[in-house]
Amino acid sequence: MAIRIVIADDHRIMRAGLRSLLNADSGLEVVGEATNSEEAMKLVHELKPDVVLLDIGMPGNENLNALKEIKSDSSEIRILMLTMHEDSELLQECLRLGANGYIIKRAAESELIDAIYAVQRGMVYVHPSMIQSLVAVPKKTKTKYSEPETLTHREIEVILLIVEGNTNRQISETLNISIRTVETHRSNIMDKLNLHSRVDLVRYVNEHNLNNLH
Amino acid sequence: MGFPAVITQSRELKKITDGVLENLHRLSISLRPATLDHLGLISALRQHTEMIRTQHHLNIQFEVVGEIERLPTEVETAIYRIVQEALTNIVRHANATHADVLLERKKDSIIVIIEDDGIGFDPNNKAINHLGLVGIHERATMLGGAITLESSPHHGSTIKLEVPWQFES
Repeated sequence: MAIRIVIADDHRIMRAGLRSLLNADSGLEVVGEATNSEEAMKLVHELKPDVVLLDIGMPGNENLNALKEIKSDSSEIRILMLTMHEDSELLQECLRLGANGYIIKRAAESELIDAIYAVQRGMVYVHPSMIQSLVAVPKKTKTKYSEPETLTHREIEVILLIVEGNTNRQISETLNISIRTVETHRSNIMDKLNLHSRVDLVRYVNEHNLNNLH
Repeated sequence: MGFPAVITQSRELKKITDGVLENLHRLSISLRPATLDHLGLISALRQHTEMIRTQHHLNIQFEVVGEIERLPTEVETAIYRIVQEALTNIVRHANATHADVLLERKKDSIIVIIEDDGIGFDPNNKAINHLGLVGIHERATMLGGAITLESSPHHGSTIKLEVPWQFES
């Protein structure tokens, strides 16, 4: 029995192209077309296809929602996201919401067909150009922090003002000291704590509950 | 010009055109990343800083302080562009080893700080207007916000954007 497919894409030519491409394969059959996410959800609910080709770029920001809805309505329906965006965050979000595949519109026709068969077999299909973003785990270096006891009262004041989002000039005005002095405090603090930047300080303060020391 | 030369040159042209199309595609993505529309400012900034970290070998960190939900599209876009512009400057001119992007929720405003430890510049020097700072100021003004710019030679630079904002929750 052919794999039953619903196409959801707002571009008529795209749908027509996909339909003729997919129908040319005897193992595939396009059973319905939707032009927006609402129609897609309704049609999928009625037709219960095997696979949905869901375009992320349809008007409105509800397309990820449609993915979620379809999955919660009937989790066995495979959803293959169809997109122009080679966007790693979007890919990860789609997979998190239950998408079975992510294929980019510049992919070759044969890839799309392979992807449909793959998701139908229960596999996850991600376009090869996007796979690296799934396996590239950002390196986390564990900074060795010094303890807050080595800080002076004034340094803690400066740290808290930095973390609250003040610039050096704003800190100098609040504490009534020169900008040069703020810069010196700042560089002493960084040296003492072995930190390099404002974000390091924000994380340091959170980890040490430094707000309570003040 | 002989026939084979025409073929060679046509092939060359085809290669160039393909390259241009590819670059154009990447450019359109970076001008307005899909992440911004679908997942919002925080994801888009995380992705952009990550991209700069890998492409430019800059030790860049991004941090959010406080809960910030989705903001109206024009606010998210303006903040995104300001950060993007500021980071482009850092990559091109600052010669920095570290850069930070900090997005912070305050009681009735949103603060964004872009800071680096590079060579710095004199903010009063009129010649630095080409750094896209005019655009940054304009975008901030459109949001009813303000830009504070601080830098001095050899002490890095800090751009701070403050946008008044009433949080609902």
